[in-house]
Amino acid sequence: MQARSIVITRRHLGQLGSVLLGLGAVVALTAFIWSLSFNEFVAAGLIIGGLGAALWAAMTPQEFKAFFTGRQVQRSTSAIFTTLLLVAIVTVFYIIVQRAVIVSDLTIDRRFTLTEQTLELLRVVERSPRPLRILGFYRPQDLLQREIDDAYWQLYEAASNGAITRQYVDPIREPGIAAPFSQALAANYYVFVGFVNPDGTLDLSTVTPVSNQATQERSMTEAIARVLAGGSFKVYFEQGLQTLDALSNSQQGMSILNNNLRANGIVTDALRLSDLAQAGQTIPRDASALIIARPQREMTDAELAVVREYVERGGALFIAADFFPTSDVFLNASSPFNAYLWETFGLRMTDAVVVDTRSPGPSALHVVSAQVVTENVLTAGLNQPNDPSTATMFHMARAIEVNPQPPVPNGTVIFSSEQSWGETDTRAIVERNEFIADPDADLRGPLSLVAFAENPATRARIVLVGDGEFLTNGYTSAQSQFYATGNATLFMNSIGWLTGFSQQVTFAPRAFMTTPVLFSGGQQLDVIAFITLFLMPGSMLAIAGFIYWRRYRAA
Amino acid sequence: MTGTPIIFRRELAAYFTSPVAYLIAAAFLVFTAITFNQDLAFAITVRPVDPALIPRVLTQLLIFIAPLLTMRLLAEENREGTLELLLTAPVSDASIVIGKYLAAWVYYTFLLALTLVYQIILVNIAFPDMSHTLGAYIGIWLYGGATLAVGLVFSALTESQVLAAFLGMIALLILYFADRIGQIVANIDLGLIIFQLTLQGHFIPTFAQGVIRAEDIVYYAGLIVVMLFVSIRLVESRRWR
Amino acid sequence: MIEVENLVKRYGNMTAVKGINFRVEPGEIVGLLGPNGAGKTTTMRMLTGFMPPTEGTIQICGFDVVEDSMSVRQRVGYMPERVPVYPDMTVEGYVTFWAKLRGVRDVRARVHAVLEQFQLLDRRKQLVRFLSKGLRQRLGLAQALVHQPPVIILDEPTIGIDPRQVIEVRDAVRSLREGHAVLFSSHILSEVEQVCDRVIIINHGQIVGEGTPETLSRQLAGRQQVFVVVEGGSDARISAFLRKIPDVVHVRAMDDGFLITTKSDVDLRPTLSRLITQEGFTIVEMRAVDASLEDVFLTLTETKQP
Ligand SMILES: Nc1ncnc2c1ncn2[C@@H]1O[C@H](COP(=O)(O)OP(=O)(O)OP(=O)(O)O)[C@@H](O)[C@H]1O
Ligand SMILES: [Mg+2]
Repeated sequence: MQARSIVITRRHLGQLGSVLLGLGAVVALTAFIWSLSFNEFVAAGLIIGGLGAALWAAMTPQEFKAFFTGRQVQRSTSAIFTTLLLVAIVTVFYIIVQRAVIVSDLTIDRRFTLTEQTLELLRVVERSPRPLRILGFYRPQDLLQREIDDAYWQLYEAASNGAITRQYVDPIREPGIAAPFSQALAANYYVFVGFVNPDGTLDLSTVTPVSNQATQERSMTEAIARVLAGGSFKVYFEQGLQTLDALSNSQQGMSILNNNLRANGIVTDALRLSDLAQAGQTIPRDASALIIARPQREMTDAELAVVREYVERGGALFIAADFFPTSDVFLNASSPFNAYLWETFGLRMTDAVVVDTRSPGPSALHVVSAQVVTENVLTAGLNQPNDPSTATMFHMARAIEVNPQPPVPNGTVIFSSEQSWGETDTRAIVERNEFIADPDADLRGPLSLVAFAENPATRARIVLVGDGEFLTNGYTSAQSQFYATGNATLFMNSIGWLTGFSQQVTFAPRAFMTTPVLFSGGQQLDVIAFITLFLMPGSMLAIAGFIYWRRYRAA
Repeated sequence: MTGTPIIFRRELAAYFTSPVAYLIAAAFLVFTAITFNQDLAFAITVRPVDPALIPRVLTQLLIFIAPLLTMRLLAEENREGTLELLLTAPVSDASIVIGKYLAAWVYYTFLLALTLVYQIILVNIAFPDMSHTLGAYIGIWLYGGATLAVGLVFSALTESQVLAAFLGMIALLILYFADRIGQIVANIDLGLIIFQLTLQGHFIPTFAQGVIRAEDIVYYAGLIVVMLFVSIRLVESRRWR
Repeated sequence: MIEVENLVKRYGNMTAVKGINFRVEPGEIVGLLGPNGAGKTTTMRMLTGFMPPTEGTIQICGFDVVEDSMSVRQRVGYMPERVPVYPDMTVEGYVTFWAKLRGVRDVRARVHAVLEQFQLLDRRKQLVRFLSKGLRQRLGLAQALVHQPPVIILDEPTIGIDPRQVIEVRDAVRSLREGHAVLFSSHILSEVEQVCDRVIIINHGQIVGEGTPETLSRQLAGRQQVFVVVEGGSDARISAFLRKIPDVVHVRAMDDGFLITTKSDVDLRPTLSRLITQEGFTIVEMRAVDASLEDVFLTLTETKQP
């Protein structure tokens, strides 16, 4: 009796074989799916399965044969196989369609359609010898954001026929790639654009951050334009006329605006007119514009000659001339440079200080841009409705005189208010802080604060501002009490126009339709709530009750 | 396929003459109405309404509603034994499954059409982006079709309606959680593949934003086709099991 | 019309049908008779194509059930065991649905005809859920016949209904004989006896008897039954002993004694009494029993008890 219980029949061995076959197949398949490669687990699984199959076939050949030729195995295998085949076909089709990027934009303001301007830029990208790459940093938890953004970026890739590619990096998993961007990432920039090197890496010197605003097309298009324009624009800061220090980050420096230019891909450098005049040199050929910011003394004749030579060959000047209670103030009424500007551009500086008693600024001497000429590249983004900080703010500004019959086209872009006047008695202001409108002596408002002119023949351009202080960090830093975002906007717009940079990169702002729900008194809300919350579900309940009653009760 | 319209008509009539279907409709309307009124109260004079508001809510609601709509379809026939007659009638298994599925989809379309009342109200008190809304509705219509197809598989799998609904909800929940995937999966590439498999991943970034992307349509259509195929195979399997 | 060859059905390890063969010709009503769990429903489900056979072939009107399922399904009218219905449809809607699904040409006329045939016309607007069991059974028949199939398969059409309705259903089945091949199952013998041209008795998945009711009775005529009451040992021992006696076909333990069926024509009683006494048991009573078809059924369906 004992002996019988340990007798192993062929049948048992056959069963063991079939179990081994199943087990081996499961192990092999799991291991393969897990690692997507042929490793030792896959091999072990296959060997176990093979041995099991051999054992099964050898011990119970009929059963083995019947199993594999049986209807159930055949049909279930074919059902699983055809299902997998269908899934594969659908997947392939999905991938093909995904590559094709077929998108239809239904938003009323065409938010997901690239504008003609962007498309034009992308044609330039296509012709460029180096491809561009969009590099985005997304942590795993930002996946949804990444998909939303990607819906946008893939439009760029498709429209540029692949000249722009996308790359997404997880900064946690690949800290090496993220390291050069750590500062920008800390400042909440997470998408960048730059040229791709021949070896496939990103050319870090060309990389520009993409500002993460809601209007994504604008951010991306401008960034791409900046990369394309990168290095081709160079502006010089005049640093020899006791002008603002472009590198100083003190309240009186103008490092913020300098950095702004650099962040936009514009190269900045410094020069001293006096040095050039002494050495008999001219302003460098690569200068796209010369910035003379708040000089504290008049130019010498030699220096003026250098500037003249530059203007005559089509140079661009940004001049911010402030008021100083000194006799050799820059661009004083009788200075040769002022006379030169009048004869070449029809613009000149007066010695009158603009006073505006209705100014919303801290004092009557803080002049806020009251009227801006709209539809002008110089004033784009200024004096936005409902946003007072988008105005410019000048302090002790000088009025500009604009020749109504100018030698070249010119004009004013910012005026002071109707109530302002140009105080000619500047001593009273400086010494007694006193300003009284004197209709005979003073200039009547509104007065020109910012003017421009362009010589169509030489392409020489000028932007003349009757204030210099507005460029300082004290007026452009968000921490400052005089902070006005309009100041930086005006400066950037001006440089953009003077250099021709904005012609290449600015993206015309698009108006988005944002119509809030109209106020419709509480009563109307109650009616809506009654209809939607009670009437509609209630009618469904009533139908349900009616059917129930008809079907189950009334029969 | 000759049987499809006949089965479809019978199933559709079954929906519209069943009190349970109207109870589901009532629940559906209560949930959407709460969201609508809440959003309206917030939006008044402050911001525009989200054109995709209702479709966005439905992405969640459908996880629970769709299995309730489909649980009956095959499980009940199986339990009541009518499947025995159906499968011995001269109609293909595919036409049975497709007819039933289409009926569920049409009933869902009816539910969706009820929510157009909210859009009519909005048109009267604001200037909503109607084409954006249309895009979102097309999206949620496909999304609903896909959830119904998933629900149908579980109705084919089991005799018990409750179990079918329960399993369907679990499956849809798994398919749903796209925005959480990043918090679960540390590997972003794997996360992205999973994301592309999720229902929400093809709705929130595109349809809800007012864009129709062909790949999303392919995803939902593909999901419907695969799920119907699986359902048909499951029904067919009783012929060789 | 129906040709079944070597039909086998296994549910996992359990073999419900163990290789049966039979034929049903047109114009014939054949009863499939067997106790609960004999495999009647299983057989019929395979005949209608609802379930595949594990082994063997079924041909209906010359079409193989597995290979040519669609052709078979067009030619079969089937009424499953419990008459499955959609409770929320009307009687008319229910029959119309099946008529359309089976491709009936003139649906309205056919539906009207079958409803009339089964006296459901006055209830055609009623919901199926409110039908009594008998009416439901008739609805099942109406549904099975609406497309005028040449082969009709009815699974226990008379189960669970009162005698008057049984008669109605029986009459309905009998009226089908013309031109149809009818196979219907039952575990009630008298019913089969009255309606059928031929009876197939199955038990535990095997055919244990086949023929007209008369043939079956005659088959039994070649046998004898003896009722004995024996004492002097446990029931198990006695019955085991009785079974070993030559010519004894079947021994059934009754409440008070044993019913012995013998094969031979000769009276076995003297031999029996001798052998029993030799073994040391006491015969308390012994008498010959008259056999009926009922007994045939019972004996045939009990012999194979494992
Ligand atoms: N789907 C199934 N799975 C497993 N076993 C089953 C299945 N259907 C039937 N059986 C078993 O097969 C055997 C035959 O069942 P079947 O229903 O064919 O008997 P029947 O003759 O119709 O009995 P009844 O008179 O009770 O209807 C029974 O033992 C039953 O338990
Ligand atoms: Mg049965």
